[in-house]
Amino acid sequence: MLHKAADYPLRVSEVGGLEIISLASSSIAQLGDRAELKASIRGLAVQREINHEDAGDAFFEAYDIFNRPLPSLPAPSAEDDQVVMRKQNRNQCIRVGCIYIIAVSGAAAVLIGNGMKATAESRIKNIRQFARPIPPATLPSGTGSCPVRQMEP
Amino acid sequence: MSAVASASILQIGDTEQITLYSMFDTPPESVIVGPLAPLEAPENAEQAEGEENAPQGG
Repeated sequence: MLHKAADYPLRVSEVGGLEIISLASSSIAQLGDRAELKASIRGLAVQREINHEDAGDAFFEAYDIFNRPLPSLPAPSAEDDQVVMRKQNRNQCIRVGCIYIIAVSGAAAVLIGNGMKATAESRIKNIRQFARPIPPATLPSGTGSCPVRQMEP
Repeated sequence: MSAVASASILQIGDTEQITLYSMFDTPPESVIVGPLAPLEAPENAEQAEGEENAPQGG
């Protein structure tokens, strides 16, 4: 039984200061309330033995990680659906001091304020490609594999 | 704070629902770059069946 005390269903965030040095790659910094946030990033980091101009493009479609379905949470059955959340905010303010952040990156978010729903997705693949003495015809298309390097005699 | 990275959230405030996905795939650190002594072809390699389809190098 909750006490009959002050209840503030909507709280206000109060931040003394915010300093961010770097904010990159689908990231969001927001001061204020928002209903829904959706951020996503796909990254393919290719480290190659030969230069990128000679090696050609690499394609997201060639790698499973970018097509893999997202894991889903099992929906609770009707009998188990007994969780009831009740909250009571005794203070109408969330007050913090200064926030110093060096970097925000990769579909990340900094939010000062209330939010309803946030979804963020990050898919990063790192690959290394070595020059291999294989005829170009046998290279699988679209993998961005390095072409033949002319071997010095 | 040093970093907020890869589908992360720092929030000062209330929220209802947060869903964060992050997939990261990196090569094994066992890749050795350096002088390697190539092995000679196995004995009777010419007579072996199906070997021409085997991946070359790697």
